[in-house]
Amino acid sequence: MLEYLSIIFTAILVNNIVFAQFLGICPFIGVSKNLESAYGMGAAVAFVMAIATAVTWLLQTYVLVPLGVEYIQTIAFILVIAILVQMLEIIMKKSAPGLYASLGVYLPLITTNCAVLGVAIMVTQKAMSFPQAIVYAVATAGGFALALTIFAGIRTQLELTEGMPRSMRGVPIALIVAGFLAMAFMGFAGF
Amino acid sequence: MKALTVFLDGLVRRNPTFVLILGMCPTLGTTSSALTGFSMGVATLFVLALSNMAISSLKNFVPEKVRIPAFIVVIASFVTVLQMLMQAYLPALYTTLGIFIPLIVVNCILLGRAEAFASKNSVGLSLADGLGVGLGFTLALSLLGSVREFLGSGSVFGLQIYPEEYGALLFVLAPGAFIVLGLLIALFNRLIVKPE
Amino acid sequence: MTLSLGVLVLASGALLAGVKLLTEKPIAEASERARLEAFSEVLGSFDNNPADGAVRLEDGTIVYPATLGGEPAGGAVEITAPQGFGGPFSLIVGFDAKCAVTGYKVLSHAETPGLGAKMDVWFSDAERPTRSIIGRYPGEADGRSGASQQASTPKHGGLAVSKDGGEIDAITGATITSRAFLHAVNAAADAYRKVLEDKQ
Repeated sequence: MLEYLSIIFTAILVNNIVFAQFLGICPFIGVSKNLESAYGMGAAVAFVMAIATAVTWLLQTYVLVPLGVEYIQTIAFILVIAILVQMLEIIMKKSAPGLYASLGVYLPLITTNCAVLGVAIMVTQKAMSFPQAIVYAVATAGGFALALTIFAGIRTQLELTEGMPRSMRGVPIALIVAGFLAMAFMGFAGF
Repeated sequence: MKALTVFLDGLVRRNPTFVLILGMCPTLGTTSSALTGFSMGVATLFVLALSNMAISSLKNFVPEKVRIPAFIVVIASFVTVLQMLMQAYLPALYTTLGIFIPLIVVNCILLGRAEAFASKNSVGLSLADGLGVGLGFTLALSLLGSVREFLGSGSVFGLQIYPEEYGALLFVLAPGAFIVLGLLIALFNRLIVKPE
Repeated sequence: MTLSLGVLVLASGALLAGVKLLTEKPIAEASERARLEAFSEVLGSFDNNPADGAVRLEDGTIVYPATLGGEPAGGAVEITAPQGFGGPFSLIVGFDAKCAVTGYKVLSHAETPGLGAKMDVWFSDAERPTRSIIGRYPGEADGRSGASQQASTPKHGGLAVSKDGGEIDAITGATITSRAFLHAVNAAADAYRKVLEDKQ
C-alpha cells in the first residue's frame, strides 16, 4: 500500500511529467489556452496512457522478451499506441458519443504525445510489475492533467495582461511562467 | 539553387525550435549542457534526413489513407537503427540522452516534415529540407545548452569560463530550461521574425 | 492499402534485423569494454579479468574478485543504491585486499545535474580529505570495520555524512543522494567481505 502511495505521490508532484521530466510539452503549450480544453486533454491523456501502458507492458513481457526482440521495442510500442488511439476513437464514436464529443478532438493529438510513449518505455526500464505500471501510468497522467489545468488557469489571466512587449507575447511568456511553476514543483522534492 | 533556399528556410525562417515551436521535449530535456544539446540535435538530424529521403522516395508507393502509419513505421525504423548504432559505438552518450533517443519517434518535427514536405517533394529537396531543419534544430539546442551551461556551471562545451561555484544552479535545473527557452524565443522574435 | 503497409513493415523488419546482426557484436564489446575500464579505474593493480570469477549475490550485487600474480588483490563490487534522489542509481566500488576503498565509478544515475550528479567526483577528491572515501574502511560496524569511525555509530554502518554523525561531507544541497551513496558503499564492503569469507 505504502509503495503505491509513494509511486502516486512521486509521479504526480515530485517527478511531475511536465515540470521535472520534460515530457508532453507540446500539448502542454498547445492545448492550455483555456481551462475547458485543458480538462479535456488531461482526461483523454489519462485514458490513453493507462490503456497504452497496460497493452505495451503485456506486449513487452509476453511477446518481445520471450522472442528476444527487445530491440524493436520503440517501433512496436509506437505502432501499438497509434492503433490503440485509432481504435479508441472508433469505439468511443459508436458507444459513447457523449464522451467522444468532449474528448474526441484530442485523441489524434495523443499519438504524438511523447508522454504516452515515454511512460510506456520508462515502465519497462524501471522493471515495474503490472499493477505498479498501471498505477504509475494513471498517476503520471494525473500529474499531466494537474500541470495542464494550473497552467491554463494562469494563461487565461495572462491573455488579459496589457502592455506586454510584442515579442514576449504568446509562447515566450508562457514558457517563462512554466519555469516559475517548475520552480514551485521543485519544492515538493525538497533537498 | 532551390535546394539551398529550402535548406536556409529550414534553418532560419522555419526554424523548428524558435519559430515553429516544435519538438519541445528534447529541447528542454537534453540541454542542461551544450554538448548534450548538440548531440541530441545531431541524433535528430540523422533520423530526419534519412526519414525525409525514404518517405519522399516512397511517396508514390504508399496510399494516401495509410500514409501516417507508414510515416511512423519509417521514422521508428530509423530511430531503432540509431539506437543500435549508438549503443554499439557511443554507449556513454546513449546513456546520457536516455529516453529522449527512442522518443525521437514522437518528435512532431519529423512527422511534420514528412507530411508537409517530404511526401510532396523530390528526394533531393527532401534531403535539403531534412538537413536544413535538422541543422536549425541542432543549432537551437546547442545555443540553449550553451546559455544554460554558461549561466549554470560557468562553462560552454565543458570549457570553464568562470568558476563553477558562481554559477546559478537554477539554469541547469528544470525551471532554467523553460525560462531560458522563453527568453531566446522572444529574442528570436525581436531580431528575425520582426513583428508586423 | 494493407499490402503496401505490410511490405513496408516487412522491409523495416529486414532493415532492423540486418542492423541488429551488424551491431550485436560491437554492442556486447562496448559493454564489456566499459566494464573493464571501470575495473581499471576503481581497482589498484591486477592482472586477471575480474569478470571471470564474478559472484552474484541474492540482492543482485555482483562481486568481481581481482588477483595479481595469482594472489588476491582486492575486488570490485557492482551495487545498486535503491533510494537515490531521482530513483535508483548503480555504482562500482573497488576495494584492496584489506577492504579499503581504492576507487569508485557511478555507472548510471538519475540524480539532479549540478547537485546529486556531482557524486561522480565529489567522494574521491584527494585535496579534500573530509569528502574523500578513498582509503577508508566502510561496512556495517562489526568490529573490524570503521577504522576511522566515531563513537556514536551512525545508522548505516561505517561511513556516514557529518549530519548523521559520520565523517564525510555530504554534497552541498544533496544530502539524500550522499546518504544513499555512502549506504551503498557500506553495503558493497559487506558484500565483498562476505564473498571473501565464503571463499576461505
